[in-house]
Amino acid sequence: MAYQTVAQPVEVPLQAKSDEVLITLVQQGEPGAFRVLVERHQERIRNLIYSIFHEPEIVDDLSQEVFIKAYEALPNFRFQSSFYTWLYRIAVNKSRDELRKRKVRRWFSLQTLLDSSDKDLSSKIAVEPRDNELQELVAAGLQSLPDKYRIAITLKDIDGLSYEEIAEIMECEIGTVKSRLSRARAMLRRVLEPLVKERA
Amino acid sequence: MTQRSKTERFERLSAYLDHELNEAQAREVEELLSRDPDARRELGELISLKSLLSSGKGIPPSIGFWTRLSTALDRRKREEENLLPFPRKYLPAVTTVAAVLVVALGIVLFEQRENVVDYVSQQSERVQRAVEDNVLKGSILPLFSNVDKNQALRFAMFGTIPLDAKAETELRVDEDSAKWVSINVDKSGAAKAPLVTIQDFVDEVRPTRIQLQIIDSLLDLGRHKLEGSVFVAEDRAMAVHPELSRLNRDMLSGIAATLEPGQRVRFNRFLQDRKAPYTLTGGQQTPPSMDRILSRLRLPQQTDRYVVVSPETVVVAGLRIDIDSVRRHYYRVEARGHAVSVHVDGLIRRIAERDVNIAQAREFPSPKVRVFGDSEAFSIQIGSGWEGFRNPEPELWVKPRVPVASGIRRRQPIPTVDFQYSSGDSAFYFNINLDSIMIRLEKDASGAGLEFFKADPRLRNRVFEVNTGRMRHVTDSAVLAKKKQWSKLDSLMREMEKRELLQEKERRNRKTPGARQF
Repeated sequence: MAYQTVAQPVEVPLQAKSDEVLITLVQQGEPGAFRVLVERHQERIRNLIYSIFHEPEIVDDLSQEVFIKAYEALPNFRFQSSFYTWLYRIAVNKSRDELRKRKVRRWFSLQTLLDSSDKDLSSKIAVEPRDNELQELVAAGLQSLPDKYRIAITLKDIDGLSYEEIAEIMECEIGTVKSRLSRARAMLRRVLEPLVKERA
Repeated sequence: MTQRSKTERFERLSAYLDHELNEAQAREVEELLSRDPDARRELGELISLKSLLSSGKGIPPSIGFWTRLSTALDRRKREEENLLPFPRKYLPAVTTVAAVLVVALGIVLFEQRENVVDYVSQQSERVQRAVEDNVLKGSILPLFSNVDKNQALRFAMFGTIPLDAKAETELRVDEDSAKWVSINVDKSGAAKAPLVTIQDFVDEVRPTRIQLQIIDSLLDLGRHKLEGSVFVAEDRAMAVHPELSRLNRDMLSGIAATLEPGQRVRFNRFLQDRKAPYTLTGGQQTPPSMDRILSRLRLPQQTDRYVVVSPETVVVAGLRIDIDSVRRHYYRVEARGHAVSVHVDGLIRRIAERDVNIAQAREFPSPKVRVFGDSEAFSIQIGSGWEGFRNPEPELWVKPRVPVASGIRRRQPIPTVDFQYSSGDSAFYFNINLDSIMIRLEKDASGAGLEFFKADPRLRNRVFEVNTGRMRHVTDSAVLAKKKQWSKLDSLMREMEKRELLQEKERRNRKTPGARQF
C-alpha cells in the first residue's frame, strides 16, 4: 500500500517570529502580534525610562504611553529602521516631553539642590558605600547630568547601543553623539571621582 | 597641554573605549597610551566608569503590564469611536462627502466674496474691540506651574512660594490686620521660610493612612488652585486671583480639620517649631466640614474676577482664562522660567518707576484693593469684605500666631526728581527715581534742554488705591502715548552717554599728549 505524504504547513508560534513579521501581522490586523512585540521589548523600554528618571513610580505610565504611541504609529511603519530603534526614539521623545514639563519645577526648586548636589554626593562617596548604596550614588550622579547627556550615556553604557543607533534615536549627527558622550563621561567622572579612582 | 587638547584627548579615548574609531585613529590612540601614563590613567577611569554604569540593577519586571496596556488601548479606541457621530466603517465615505462639500462651499464663497469680505470686516471689528477690552495683552503664562506637594505644604504653612531657583524673589501672603490681607511679590526675599516636606509632617504628626490620603488630596487641590491664581502677560501685567490671599489658610484649616485632637496638638507643635505664622484654635469648636473646605479650594472659574496690576494701572477685571490651554501654551514656550522671571522683575521695576503717575491720575474714595509699589517689591492688599470672595465669613479654625508687621519691608524712600525736557515746540515731564543714572544726568544737565525741580512731597508715599466701581481699562492710545514719551527719554539717555564717552576720550587724549603725535 502506497502512502501519499502531504506536506503539512508548520504553525510557527507568534513568539518565534521576528519583529518585522510581527509588525506586518499587526498592519494586517492580527490581534495577538502586538502583544508579542510589547512583551518582547517592554523590559528594555521600562529600564531605559528608569535609567533616565530613576523614579520607579512613573516607569509604567510612561512605558504605557510609549507603546500606545507605537501602536497608533505602527500602520505607517516603513521598515526604514529596526523596530527597537524606532521604539527607543519614541521612548526618548516621550521622556524629553516629560523632562520639559518638569523644567519649571526644576527652575523653582531643584536648581538649588543641584547647585549643592556635587558637594553632597562627594561627601557621601568619601565614606565607603555599601553595595546597595553604590547604585543609588551612580543613579544620583546620572541625575545630576543635563538631560541630553544623561540620555546619551544611558543609551550607550546601559543599553549598549552603537553611536549610529544613538544618533538615529536622538535625531542628531554621530559627531554630536561622540561629543555628548565624552562630556557626559567627563562630568560623571568628576561627580563620582572617588568611586571611579578607587576602581580604576 | 592646553584645556582644548585635553578635551580632544578625552573625547578620543572615550570613542576608543566604545570601539568607534577607524583603524588609523585606533592605532594613534594605542601609541599615545603606550607613551603617556596620564592617558592610561584616564582610560582606566573611563573603563571603571563604564563598568559602574553597566553594573546597575534594572527595575523589577512589571506584572500585568500587558493587561493594563490593553485596557488603556481599548479605552483609547472607545473614546475615538465615541467622537465620531456615525459608525467607524463609514469613515471613508463620510470623508469623501465632506471633501466634496468643502469644495462646493469654496465655490459658493468665491462667488459671494464681496458679501463675505463685508461680513468678515464687521466681525473683525468686533474681535478687535474685544481684544482692546482685554486688559491682559499678548501671551498669558501662569506664574506657577508644576508646583509639587512639598511646595504646596510649605505654602500652606508659611504663605510663601519662591519665584526663582535661589528664592531671591518670592510671593508671600501676609495677614496685616483683620481687615487687610496682602499678596507681596518681593525681589529681595527678606525672610526665608524653612524647607518642609510631607515626610517631616508624617514623621511628626503621625496621621493615619486615610487621613494622609485626604491631606494629599487637599494639597493637590491647593496646588492646582495656586497654579490657576497668578498669571503674567507679555506686557508685564500680572493677574492675581484675590482668593489667593487666603488659600494657604484654607489649606491649613483643611489639614487641621482632618486630624484628631492628639494629632492636632502635634501639628500645632510642628507649626511652632518651624516658626510658622499660624496656630490652631480648635479647642471646643466644631471643625469646619470637609465639603466646605473643599468647596473653597476649587479652581477659579473661567470668568472669575482677578486683580490685574500693570505698569500703568490696577484694575479688577473678569478674565476668561482657560487654565488648561494656558498651561499647554506654557509648556510650548522655550526658556519659560527665565521669561516669567523677567516679566515679574520688569513689572516690579516699572511699578516703582511709574506709581507716582498712577496716583496722580486717579481718585479712590472707598478702596477695597490697594497696591503699594517699591523698587524691590510690590504688594496687593485685598480688603476682607471684598465682593470677589465667595465665602466671606472668617475662618476661625486657624489664626495668625504672630501679627505680621507689614506687607512689604519698610525702607528709606528713594528720592525722586521731576524734570522737564524741552524739544522744539514741545515739552515732556518725567518723574524718575534719583538713581545713579539720574544723578549723572543731573550733573550733565546744563545745556541739554533739561530742567530739574523737586518732586511734590504729597506723591512720595507711593500708595495708590483702587475703587472697583470707578475703574477703567488701559486704552491702547494711553499706552502708545507713554511709549512715545519713554522712547524720547531713551534717545536722550543715549545722546548723553555718547557725549560722555566723547568727553572721556578727550580727557584721556589730553592726559597722554604723546599719543596725538601718531
